[in-house]
Amino acid sequence: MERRLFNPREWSVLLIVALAAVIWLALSRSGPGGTRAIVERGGEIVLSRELEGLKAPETVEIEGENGVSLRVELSEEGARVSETNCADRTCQRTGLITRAGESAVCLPGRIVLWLEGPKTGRKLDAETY
Amino acid sequence: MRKKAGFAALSGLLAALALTFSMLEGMLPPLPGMPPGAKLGLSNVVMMYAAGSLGLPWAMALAVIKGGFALLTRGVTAGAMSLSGGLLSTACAWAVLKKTRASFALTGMCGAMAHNAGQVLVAFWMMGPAVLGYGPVLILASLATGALTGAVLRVSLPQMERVSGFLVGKRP
Repeated sequence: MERRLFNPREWSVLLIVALAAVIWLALSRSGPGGTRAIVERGGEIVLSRELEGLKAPETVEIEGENGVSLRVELSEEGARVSETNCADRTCQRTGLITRAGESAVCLPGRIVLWLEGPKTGRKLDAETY
Repeated sequence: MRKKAGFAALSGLLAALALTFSMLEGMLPPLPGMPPGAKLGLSNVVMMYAAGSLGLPWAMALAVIKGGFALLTRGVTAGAMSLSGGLLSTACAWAVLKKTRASFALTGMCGAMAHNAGQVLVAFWMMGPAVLGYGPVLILASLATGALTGAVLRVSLPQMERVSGFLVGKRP
Protein backbone atom coordinates (compact mmCIF):
# COMPACT_ATOMS: atom_id res chain seq x y z
CA MET A 1 0.00 0.00 0.00
CA GLU A 2 1.33 3.38 -1.03
CA ARG A 3 1.89 5.94 1.73
CA ARG A 4 -0.47 8.84 1.19
CA LEU A 5 -0.05 12.57 1.81
CA PHE A 6 -3.22 12.75 3.90
CA ASN A 7 -5.22 9.91 5.34
CA PRO A 8 -8.81 10.69 6.33
CA ARG A 9 -8.63 8.00 9.03
CA GLU A 10 -6.00 10.07 10.86
CA TRP A 11 -8.15 13.16 11.15
CA SER A 12 -9.70 12.07 14.44
CA VAL A 13 -6.23 11.83 16.03
CA LEU A 14 -5.28 15.26 14.70
CA LEU A 15 -8.57 16.73 15.91
CA ILE A 16 -7.97 15.41 19.43
CA VAL A 17 -4.41 16.82 19.49
CA ALA A 18 -5.58 20.20 18.17
CA LEU A 19 -8.48 20.30 20.62
CA ALA A 20 -6.21 19.44 23.55
CA ALA A 21 -3.83 22.25 22.54
CA VAL A 22 -6.70 24.75 22.18
CA ILE A 23 -8.10 23.81 25.61
CA TRP A 24 -4.62 24.08 27.17
CA LEU A 25 -4.20 27.49 25.50
CA ALA A 26 -7.63 28.70 26.63
CA LEU A 27 -6.98 27.55 30.21
CA SER A 28 -3.61 29.28 30.31
CA ARG A 29 -5.16 32.51 29.02
CA SER A 30 -8.15 32.48 31.36
CA GLY A 31 -6.21 33.07 34.58
CA PRO A 32 -6.47 36.25 36.63
CA GLY A 33 -4.71 39.38 35.41
CA GLY A 34 -1.06 39.69 36.38
CA THR A 35 -0.41 42.11 39.21
CA ARG A 36 3.36 41.85 39.59
CA ALA A 37 6.05 41.67 36.90
CA ILE A 38 9.05 39.51 37.67
CA VAL A 39 12.29 39.30 35.68
CA GLU A 40 14.59 36.34 36.27
CA ARG A 41 18.13 35.98 34.96
CA GLY A 42 19.66 32.52 35.17
CA GLY A 43 16.99 31.50 37.71
CA GLU A 44 17.55 34.50 40.01
CA ILE A 45 14.99 37.26 40.41
CA VAL A 46 16.56 40.54 39.29
CA LEU A 47 13.39 42.65 39.20
CA SER A 48 10.02 42.43 40.90
CA ARG A 49 7.61 45.31 40.42
CA GLU A 50 3.96 45.81 41.38
CA LEU A 51 2.00 46.85 38.26
CA GLU A 52 -1.11 48.15 39.97
CA GLY A 53 -0.81 51.83 40.60
CA LEU A 54 1.80 52.51 37.92
CA LYS A 55 0.75 55.96 36.70
CA ALA A 56 2.82 55.93 33.50
CA PRO A 57 4.66 53.14 31.62
CA GLU A 58 8.05 52.49 33.14
CA THR A 59 11.06 51.12 31.26
CA VAL A 60 13.83 49.07 32.82
CA GLU A 61 17.08 47.94 31.16
CA ILE A 62 18.05 44.35 31.90
CA GLU A 63 21.50 42.93 31.16
CA GLY A 64 21.31 39.25 30.32
CA GLU A 65 23.96 36.63 29.71
CA ASN A 66 25.97 36.30 26.47
CA GLY A 67 25.92 40.07 25.88
CA VAL A 68 22.13 40.19 25.48
CA SER A 69 20.33 43.22 26.86
CA LEU A 70 16.63 43.95 26.90
CA ARG A 71 14.39 46.89 27.63
CA VAL A 72 11.31 45.88 29.61
CA GLU A 73 8.27 48.12 29.60
CA LEU A 74 5.92 47.90 32.57
CA SER A 75 2.47 49.44 32.73
CA GLU A 76 -0.81 48.89 34.51
CA GLU A 77 -2.01 46.72 31.58
CA GLY A 78 0.96 44.35 31.74
CA ALA A 79 4.57 44.01 30.70
CA ARG A 80 6.50 43.52 27.48
CA VAL A 81 10.00 43.45 26.09
CA SER A 82 10.09 46.59 23.96
CA GLU A 83 13.64 46.28 22.65
CA THR A 84 16.49 43.77 22.56
CA ASN A 85 19.83 43.36 20.83
CA CYS A 86 19.24 39.58 20.58
CA ALA A 87 19.05 38.30 17.00
CA ASP A 88 16.10 35.97 17.70
CA ARG A 89 13.80 38.67 19.18
CA THR A 90 11.48 35.91 20.38
CA CYS A 91 10.83 37.73 23.67
CA GLN A 92 10.05 41.00 21.88
CA ARG A 93 7.69 39.33 19.41
CA THR A 94 5.76 37.75 22.28
CA GLY A 95 4.30 41.24 22.79
CA LEU A 96 2.36 42.48 25.79
CA ILE A 97 1.68 39.89 28.48
CA THR A 98 -1.25 40.62 30.75
CA ARG A 99 -2.32 37.37 32.47
CA ALA A 100 -0.81 35.76 35.55
CA GLY A 101 1.59 33.00 34.51
CA GLU A 102 2.20 34.41 31.02
CA SER A 103 5.84 34.87 30.12
CA ALA A 104 8.25 36.27 27.54
CA VAL A 105 11.42 34.23 27.37
CA CYS A 106 14.88 35.12 26.03
CA LEU A 107 16.85 31.89 25.86
CA PRO A 108 20.23 33.31 24.71
CA GLY A 109 20.13 35.90 27.52
CA ARG A 110 18.69 33.40 30.04
CA ILE A 111 16.00 35.95 30.92
CA VAL A 112 12.34 35.28 31.75
CA LEU A 113 9.80 38.05 32.16
CA TRP A 114 6.62 36.75 33.73
CA LEU A 115 3.58 37.97 35.59
CA GLU A 116 2.48 36.86 39.01
CA GLY A 117 -1.21 36.88 39.89
CA PRO A 118 -2.94 38.17 42.98
CA LYS A 119 -1.68 36.49 46.15
CA THR A 120 -3.79 33.48 47.08
CA GLY A 121 -5.90 34.21 50.08
CA ARG A 122 -7.32 37.43 48.72
CA LYS A 123 -9.56 35.80 46.13
CA LEU A 124 -10.62 32.43 47.49
CA ASP A 125 -13.05 30.08 45.79
CA ALA A 126 -14.56 29.13 49.15
CA GLU A 127 -14.05 29.80 52.83
CA THR A 128 -14.95 27.64 55.82
CA TYR A 129 -15.23 28.56 59.47
CA MET B 1 32.86 -1.22 -2.12
CA ARG B 2 30.90 1.06 -4.43
CA LYS B 3 27.86 0.69 -2.20
CA LYS B 4 29.83 1.78 0.88
CA ALA B 5 31.24 4.83 -0.88
CA GLY B 6 27.79 5.63 -2.24
CA PHE B 7 26.30 5.40 1.25
CA ALA B 8 28.94 7.78 2.60
CA ALA B 9 28.28 10.18 -0.28
CA LEU B 10 24.52 10.06 0.33
CA SER B 11 24.98 10.70 4.06
CA GLY B 12 27.24 13.66 3.28
CA LEU B 13 24.77 15.04 0.74
CA LEU B 14 21.88 14.79 3.17
CA ALA B 15 23.92 16.39 5.97
CA ALA B 16 24.85 19.28 3.67
CA LEU B 17 21.23 19.64 2.57
CA ALA B 18 19.96 19.70 6.16
CA LEU B 19 22.54 22.32 7.17
CA THR B 20 21.76 24.46 4.10
CA PHE B 21 18.03 24.36 4.79
CA SER B 22 18.47 25.26 8.43
CA MET B 23 20.84 28.13 7.52
CA LEU B 24 18.50 29.44 4.81
CA GLU B 25 15.59 29.29 7.20
CA GLY B 26 17.55 31.30 9.75
CA MET B 27 17.87 34.08 7.18
CA LEU B 28 14.14 34.27 6.49
CA PRO B 29 12.06 36.81 8.40
CA PRO B 30 9.64 35.39 11.00
CA LEU B 31 6.57 33.90 9.36
CA PRO B 32 3.45 36.03 9.80
CA GLY B 33 0.82 34.40 11.98
CA MET B 34 3.30 32.01 13.54
CA PRO B 35 4.01 32.17 17.27
CA PRO B 36 7.35 33.68 18.31
CA GLY B 37 10.22 31.26 17.91
CA ALA B 38 8.32 28.85 15.67
CA LYS B 39 9.96 27.91 12.37
CA LEU B 40 8.93 25.98 9.30
CA GLY B 41 11.55 23.29 9.92
CA LEU B 42 12.48 22.57 6.29
CA SER B 43 15.57 20.65 7.37
CA ASN B 44 13.15 18.17 8.98
CA VAL B 45 12.25 17.09 5.44
CA VAL B 46 15.83 15.92 4.99
CA MET B 47 15.98 14.39 8.46
CA MET B 48 12.76 12.46 7.77
CA TYR B 49 14.15 11.17 4.49
CA ALA B 50 17.42 10.24 6.23
CA ALA B 51 15.49 8.37 8.93
CA GLY B 52 13.62 6.44 6.24
CA SER B 53 16.55 5.72 3.91
CA LEU B 54 19.76 5.62 6.00
CA GLY B 55 18.22 4.01 9.06
CA LEU B 56 18.11 5.19 12.65
CA PRO B 57 21.84 5.24 13.63
CA TRP B 58 22.95 7.23 10.58
CA ALA B 59 20.00 9.60 10.77
CA MET B 60 20.82 10.21 14.44
CA ALA B 61 24.44 10.90 13.44
CA LEU B 62 23.12 13.51 11.01
CA ALA B 63 21.11 15.11 13.83
CA VAL B 64 24.31 15.26 15.92
CA ILE B 65 26.16 16.93 13.02
CA LYS B 66 23.33 19.46 12.68
CA GLY B 67 23.44 20.16 16.43
CA GLY B 68 27.23 20.53 16.27
CA PHE B 69 26.91 23.01 13.41
CA ALA B 70 24.38 25.07 15.40
CA LEU B 71 26.76 24.94 18.39
CA LEU B 72 29.67 26.28 16.32
CA THR B 73 27.73 28.98 14.50
CA ARG B 74 25.08 30.11 16.99
CA GLY B 75 26.35 29.17 20.44
CA VAL B 76 25.70 26.67 23.21
CA THR B 77 21.99 27.43 23.67
CA ALA B 78 21.16 27.02 19.98
CA GLY B 79 23.38 23.91 19.81
CA ALA B 80 21.65 22.22 22.74
CA MET B 81 18.22 23.10 21.35
CA SER B 82 19.08 21.85 17.86
CA LEU B 83 20.59 18.64 19.20
CA SER B 84 17.70 17.73 21.51
CA GLY B 85 15.04 18.66 18.96
CA GLY B 86 16.89 16.95 16.12
CA LEU B 87 17.51 13.68 17.96
CA LEU B 88 13.94 13.42 19.24
CA SER B 89 12.29 14.33 15.92
CA THR B 90 14.54 11.99 13.92
CA ALA B 91 13.82 9.09 16.27
CA CYS B 92 10.11 9.90 16.08
CA ALA B 93 10.13 10.15 12.26
CA TRP B 94 11.99 6.84 12.04
CA ALA B 95 9.48 5.12 14.33
CA VAL B 96 6.48 6.49 12.43
CA LEU B 97 7.95 5.72 8.99
CA LYS B 98 9.18 2.22 9.83
CA LYS B 99 6.55 1.00 12.25
CA THR B 100 3.33 2.53 10.93
CA ARG B 101 1.60 3.34 7.65
CA ALA B 102 0.90 6.91 8.74
CA SER B 103 0.52 9.52 6.02
CA PHE B 104 3.32 11.92 5.10
CA ALA B 105 1.44 14.78 6.77
CA LEU B 106 1.08 12.89 10.06
CA THR B 107 4.76 11.86 9.89
CA GLY B 108 5.73 15.51 9.45
CA MET B 109 3.46 16.59 12.30
CA CYS B 110 4.86 13.95 14.67
CA GLY B 111 8.41 14.98 13.72
CA ALA B 112 7.62 18.67 14.25
CA MET B 113 5.94 18.03 17.61
CA ALA B 114 8.85 15.85 18.75
CA HIS B 115 11.29 18.57 17.64
CA ASN B 116 9.43 21.18 19.67
CA ALA B 117 9.12 18.83 22.65
CA GLY B 118 12.90 18.29 22.63
CA GLN B 119 13.52 22.03 22.50
CA VAL B 120 11.00 22.83 25.23
CA LEU B 121 12.62 20.14 27.44
CA VAL B 122 16.02 21.83 27.10
CA ALA B 123 14.46 25.27 27.62
CA PHE B 124 12.62 23.94 30.70
CA TRP B 125 15.90 22.61 32.08
CA MET B 126 17.65 25.94 31.44
CA MET B 127 14.89 28.41 32.29
CA GLY B 128 12.33 26.69 34.48
CA PRO B 129 8.57 26.18 34.10
CA ALA B 130 7.89 29.59 32.48
CA VAL B 131 8.68 28.11 29.05
CA LEU B 132 5.83 25.58 29.30
CA GLY B 133 3.44 28.39 28.39
CA TYR B 134 4.72 28.05 24.81
CA GLY B 135 3.56 24.42 24.72
CA PRO B 136 0.07 24.76 23.25
CA VAL B 137 1.03 27.33 20.61
CA LEU B 138 3.95 25.16 19.55
CA ILE B 139 1.67 22.11 19.23
CA LEU B 140 -0.72 24.06 17.00
CA ALA B 141 2.19 25.43 14.95
CA SER B 142 3.58 21.87 14.60
CA LEU B 143 0.34 20.69 13.04
CA ALA B 144 0.63 23.37 10.33
CA THR B 145 4.38 23.17 9.69
CA GLY B 146 4.41 19.37 9.95
CA ALA B 147 1.72 19.04 7.28
CA LEU B 148 3.79 21.30 5.05
CA THR B 149 7.11 19.48 5.58
CA GLY B 150 5.31 16.18 5.05
CA ALA B 151 3.96 17.52 1.76
CA VAL B 152 7.42 18.72 0.72
CA LEU B 153 8.80 15.25 1.51
CA ARG B 154 6.04 13.65 -0.58
CA VAL B 155 6.79 15.92 -3.54
CA SER B 156 10.58 15.65 -3.36
CA LEU B 157 10.68 11.93 -2.60
CA PRO B 158 10.97 10.70 -6.23
CA GLN B 159 13.97 12.98 -6.84
CA MET B 160 15.66 11.98 -3.59
CA GLU B 161 15.00 8.30 -4.35
CA ARG B 162 16.59 8.71 -7.77
CA VAL B 163 19.76 10.17 -6.21
CA SER B 164 19.94 7.53 -3.49
CA GLY B 165 19.16 4.80 -6.03
CA PHE B 166 22.12 5.98 -8.12
CA LEU B 167 24.46 6.11 -5.11
CA VAL B 168 23.54 3.02 -3.13
CA GLY B 169 21.49 0.99 -5.56
CA LYS B 170 17.91 -0.14 -5.12
CA ARG B 171 16.53 0.30 -1.64
CA PRO B 172 15.86 -2.93 0.23
